[in-house]
Amino acid sequence: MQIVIINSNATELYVIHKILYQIKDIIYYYMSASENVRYIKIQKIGEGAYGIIYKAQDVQTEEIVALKKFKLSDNEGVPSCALREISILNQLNHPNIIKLISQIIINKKLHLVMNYYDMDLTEYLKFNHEEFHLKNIIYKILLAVEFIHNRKIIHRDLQPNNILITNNEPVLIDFGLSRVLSPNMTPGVTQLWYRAPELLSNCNTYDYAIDMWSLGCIIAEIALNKPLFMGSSEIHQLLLIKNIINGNEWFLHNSQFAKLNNLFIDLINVCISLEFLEIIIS
Amino acid sequence: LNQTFLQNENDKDSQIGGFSAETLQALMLQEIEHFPNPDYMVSIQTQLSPKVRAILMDWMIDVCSVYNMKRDTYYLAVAYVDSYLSKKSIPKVDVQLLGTASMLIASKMEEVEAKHVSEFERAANHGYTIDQIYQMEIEVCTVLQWHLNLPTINLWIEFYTNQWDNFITDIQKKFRAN
Repeated sequence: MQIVIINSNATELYVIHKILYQIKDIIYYYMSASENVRYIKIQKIGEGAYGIIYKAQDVQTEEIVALKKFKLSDNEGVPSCALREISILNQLNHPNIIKLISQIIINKKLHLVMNYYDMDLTEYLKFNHEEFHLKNIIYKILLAVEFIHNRKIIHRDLQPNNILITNNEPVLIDFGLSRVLSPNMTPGVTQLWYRAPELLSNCNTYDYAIDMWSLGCIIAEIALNKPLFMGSSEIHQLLLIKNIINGNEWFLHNSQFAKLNNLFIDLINVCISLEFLEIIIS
Repeated sequence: LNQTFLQNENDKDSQIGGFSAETLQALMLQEIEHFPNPDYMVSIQTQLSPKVRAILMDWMIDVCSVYNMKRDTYYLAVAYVDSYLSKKSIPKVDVQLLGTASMLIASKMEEVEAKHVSEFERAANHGYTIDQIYQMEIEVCTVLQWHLNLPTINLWIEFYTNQWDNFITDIQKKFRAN
């Protein structure tokens, strides 16, 4: 059974909610008795090439969870992004990385059950927060990324939308693009604004450094409250990166970074260092 | 190995055989946790013999080399076969199906562009239908409890050869100093 609420205003929603709340136990009883239904879909949250993400409720524990649905197509079987995501999440156990509660196959569809959080970093940054909280978030993200890199895994899709915030603590999600480090990989990963120069120049022998680049962009975004490089195409993105560099001295000429602490600029510089690119050019 | 490990334990940034100490620790824990049962031929399997496994491995490496797959892909597939066999007994007829499904999963996990199922179907000489391969794929995943990032033999060979290289360069340095 699937409950979808479309275009309802607040009062209608309230009424529906009230009715549902009253007959909740009855519905749950019949559903759990009739089939092996464990989760009820409440709402669609997101959609991608891989499948659809739903907000859902666990019938047994009444917990709100996120359901990620993959279709097992005739063309491919279990999609490779699903295989990688499940196997990677299964081996990661860290407070700042999303937990995979279980994976179930119903009617040739693979569902991943994960914890549900309702706010991501982009939304979080729309409000004003104390510096202490922001620093804490940056620190915890760095710890989480170090944790996955220590297990030879590259995330490859770090961006503010993939960092959820709950009680001022970050949670890393979406390992659909991540994989174990290998000598040959596809360069078409990461969202354009957070894509490292080696990926932009179509290099397929990159390593953990691409995650560090994305992290640098995210940290700068937290500090500036807007994305650092907002390119419209790959060439434009490279141009923006080139414009902000003045030789090897980063940002120091740039007035928008004047208010930041020197240590902070150093941190961004370490993340967004061009050493790798220089090796390629020379 | 133990000596070098202990020597470098205090130094956090040191690299052992190309891995940092923490990576090595994580990989070793994984290896201990998912190590296949060494005598599954006797204790778990009823219809198989070591010779059957050898024939399967030969066929798999043939397929992998014909389709130009990475070396890691083959060893990952071998790891899946071994851990499946050490958990569940299968009839002799399905051994090749298990190998095919393992190669399919491994190619999806490791290759940049995964090979299509029909190619594996052709490699198995159409002995199994595509639906059967898909079914086996899901079964392998569930039996392994979706722990598909296994440290392969190839990784450990790399680890030991890197250490050997370091050892040789050290000796050469000493030799030149004298």
